[in-house]
Amino acid sequence: ESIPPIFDQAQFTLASHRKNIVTLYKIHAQCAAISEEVPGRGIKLTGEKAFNDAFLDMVNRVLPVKKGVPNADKIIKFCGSFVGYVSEKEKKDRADGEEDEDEDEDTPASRFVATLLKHLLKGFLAKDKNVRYRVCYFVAQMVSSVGEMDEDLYTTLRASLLERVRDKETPVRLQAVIALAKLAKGEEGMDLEDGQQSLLEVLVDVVRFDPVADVRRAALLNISCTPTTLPALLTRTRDEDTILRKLVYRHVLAALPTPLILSIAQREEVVRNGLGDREPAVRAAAANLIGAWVDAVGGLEKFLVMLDVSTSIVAEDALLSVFVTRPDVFDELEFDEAYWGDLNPERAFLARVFVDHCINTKASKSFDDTRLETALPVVTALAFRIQDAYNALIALINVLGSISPARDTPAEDDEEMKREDTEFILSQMLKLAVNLDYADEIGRRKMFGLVRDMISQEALPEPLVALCLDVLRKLSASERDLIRVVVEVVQELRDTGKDDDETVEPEHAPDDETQYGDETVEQGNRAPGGSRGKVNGRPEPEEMDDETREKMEYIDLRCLALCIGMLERVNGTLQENSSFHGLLPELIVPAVRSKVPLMRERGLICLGLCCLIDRKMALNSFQLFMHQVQTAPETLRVKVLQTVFDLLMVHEADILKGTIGPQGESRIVDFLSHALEETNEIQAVATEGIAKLMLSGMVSDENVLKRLVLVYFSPETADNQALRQCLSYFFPVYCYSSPANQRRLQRIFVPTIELLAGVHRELDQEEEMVAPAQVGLLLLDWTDPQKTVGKPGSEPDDSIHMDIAIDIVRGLFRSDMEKDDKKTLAQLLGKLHVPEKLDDDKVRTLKVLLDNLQARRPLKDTTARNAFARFQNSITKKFAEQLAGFSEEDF
Amino acid sequence: GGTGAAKPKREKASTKISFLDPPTAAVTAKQLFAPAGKAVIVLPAKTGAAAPVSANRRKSKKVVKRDDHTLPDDMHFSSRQLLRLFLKPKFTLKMRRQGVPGDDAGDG
Repeated sequence: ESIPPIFDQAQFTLASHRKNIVTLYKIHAQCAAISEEVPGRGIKLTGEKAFNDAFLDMVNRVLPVKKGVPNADKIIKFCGSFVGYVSEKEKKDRADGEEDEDEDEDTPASRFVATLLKHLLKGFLAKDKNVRYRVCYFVAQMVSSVGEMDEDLYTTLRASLLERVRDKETPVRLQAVIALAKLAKGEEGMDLEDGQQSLLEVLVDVVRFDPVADVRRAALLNISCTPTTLPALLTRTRDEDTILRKLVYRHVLAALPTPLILSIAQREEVVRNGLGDREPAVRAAAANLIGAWVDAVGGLEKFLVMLDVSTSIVAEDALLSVFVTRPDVFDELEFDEAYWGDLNPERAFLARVFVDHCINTKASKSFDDTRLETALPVVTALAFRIQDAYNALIALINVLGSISPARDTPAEDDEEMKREDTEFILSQMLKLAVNLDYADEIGRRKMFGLVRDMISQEALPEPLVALCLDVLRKLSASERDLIRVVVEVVQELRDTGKDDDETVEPEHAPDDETQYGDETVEQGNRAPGGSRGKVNGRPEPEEMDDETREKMEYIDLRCLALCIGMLERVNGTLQENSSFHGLLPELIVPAVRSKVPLMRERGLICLGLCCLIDRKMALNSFQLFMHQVQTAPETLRVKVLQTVFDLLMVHEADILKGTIGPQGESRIVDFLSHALEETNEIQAVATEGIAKLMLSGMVSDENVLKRLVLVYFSPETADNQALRQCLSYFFPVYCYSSPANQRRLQRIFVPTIELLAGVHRELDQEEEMVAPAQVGLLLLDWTDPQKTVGKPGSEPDDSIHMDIAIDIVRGLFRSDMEKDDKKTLAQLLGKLHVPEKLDDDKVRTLKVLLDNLQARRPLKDTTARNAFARFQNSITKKFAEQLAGFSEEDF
Repeated sequence: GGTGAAKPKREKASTKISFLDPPTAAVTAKQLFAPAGKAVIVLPAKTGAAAPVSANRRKSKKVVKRDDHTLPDDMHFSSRQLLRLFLKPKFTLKMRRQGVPGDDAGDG
């Protein structure tokens, strides 16, 4: 027959395929015409059978060919096209209306396709991985053009492909996924058996869980984006594979007709993950997508509505990204009278971010100064707008306050939304106000008066307090002025609170016990509630009615918030600011002792901030904070621990000298290290704090460094990303910044590896941890002397790795070391940096150790022994000159 | 097994598939499709797509934790974080002692 030459030709060039398909089809048609009658058993299709046999024989020759051979690929494509051609022809013939032919009846074409498929299916469980790969490839190429299939065949095909999606060979899975994806398109809307996974669901599973990125990519590109598949597809914005992440933005998300299909949370996730990606290519793909969203939703304002600016934490990043990717949009922005006259949350936000962006890019050459000037409103004008918005906000709050607390009518919902919007607009205008030019004295005074007035009203929503303080800081000539103003405001607020209270008693002088910074603060705090003296001339809380007490509490909380906000913005010493001193006994100390958790928390933070700028107070209060670290409730403990670290960073020397004594450092360090065993959040704070203390050189204890390394690799911190990411940043910075730090790590090298190897051996099935060899490589990298940042006065210490070598070899002598650990360590020898020069003493020590080990305690494991021998040779060779004439006895 | 990496040249020459020769024993379907034990050719349950669940196996509710190949949440840790106070993040610390890289060290 003439079939083999057709295949022979088809394997070389795709160009011949078209012609050969037609020829092959003609042969098929001719064959189909040949049949013979078998008496009693109907017609035997001898011609068709001969054709099919010959065809399958050709196919068989391709099946064992391994992946990557173009000739085989071409034949598979050829067969796919042929199946397509045959099916097309058949469809056309039917459409041409051969009425006498029954719809369901077999045709030569359908019989050929079924025979081919059945044949290929036999290879799905073949032992030869090439055969499994090729049969899946065949099926993937022909499955979309197969047309109608009888149900049994379809079921078998489906089940067989589902098995191959789990094949252990990647190329097989890849082809199976492609085939399934094509089959899945036909399955949409079909009825499934109860509990049966749809093919789409299987693909969604593959896109998340297949171990190989290529397969996940194939699935990603073949899954249609629907509300059901979207969540899984979006998880891929954090896929390990960079290309795949890029594809999600470029291919999947860009193909959506509008971002409105995504929920607000999903848009947020897309923006956050995309713009926050570490790979520039992914960030660029995300930025392009986000830039295109502007048009897709119909303009920048709608874009901002879609992102829900008032609650979003990524809207600003998204908008800044649009400013960069869409200069056309950026250039069109105009902020005229009409704009300011008709503010909504989106417009206020846009103006504010625009101004921030202009100021941040001011340094760059391309910046057009006049744009910012024309955009910025006049100070007085903005002050009036802020005032209007503020009045409107207060009015809304009053309305809402006067109606029933349970808001359930639509009108009330509406008012509530208006309130939220107004508060947001106000917040944006306050942020903008920080960037205005206050050369105009009248405008400056107007703004100052307004903002001062705002913070002195208890009705001001708390989130706006800090923003007002930012404006006030900008308008104050000095920190001192800011402190004075805030102290005044606090006193006014508290006086008003008192005026409301009819039972107010004459003022007492502040108790000795409550003197700020006094050590007795701590005792007072620990003392049981019984003997609390009256503070600040106020009545005991117990003597007030509930409403008054609540109000007093509210005002005190507000005052503390003001003090905290103010103290966060100043850095001078408190000594110079006598106006503040009165607040300590009146407000802050009582708050520290309060039983109300929030009050106490704010009191402690306030006290901590005072201590940061007042050495004496810091010395007196340090023990109080240390005590609180142990006893405070969890949420508070985080803050207190942070305070302790801050105090150490700022006043370390004085605290150590003043309060703890000679063993101070190690005691504090011990104490802080305990925090490494607590909850995730506390662990993370302790890690970051200790890292800072070590980086600044305040803590130099090697044991602490060891603790940090252990914590970093421990399976118990696998889910503590804050801790892990802090340390993966810290270790290189710490080590490369100073040879002395590398030395410290060298000294703990062997014991640390041993400890971690022990942990690794005891690992539970669910736990994950890097192998000891990997740990070793990382530690070697951090101690690599070639990586230190050269600085005058601290030259790189070339011999660090050689000292590690000595430590390792000493370890290999030990009889109590695990055999596996010896192997790990021996293999690390080959990764050490061997310097060009090494002093005689070290060369000899190393040589003696190496030779002795080999002579007296040779390693048992072959791999370890070989690694050891290679290192031994390299040392002997490299330092041959230095070692000439040296014998062990001399040493 | 990765033994095939070393001989790309020979492959090029031998890629021609013989279609014209008469069928030989080497390409009989029976040999091609020689089955393998199922366990050998599929991924372990912990990896890859979920295995089809049969009706009786569903009762054992043992969920295998599978790796979904995502990166951890990025905390965007930066050098600035190591140089500032917890309570006053607006102010950068002056590191008083030994070498600490400046703010410009960047976060890579």
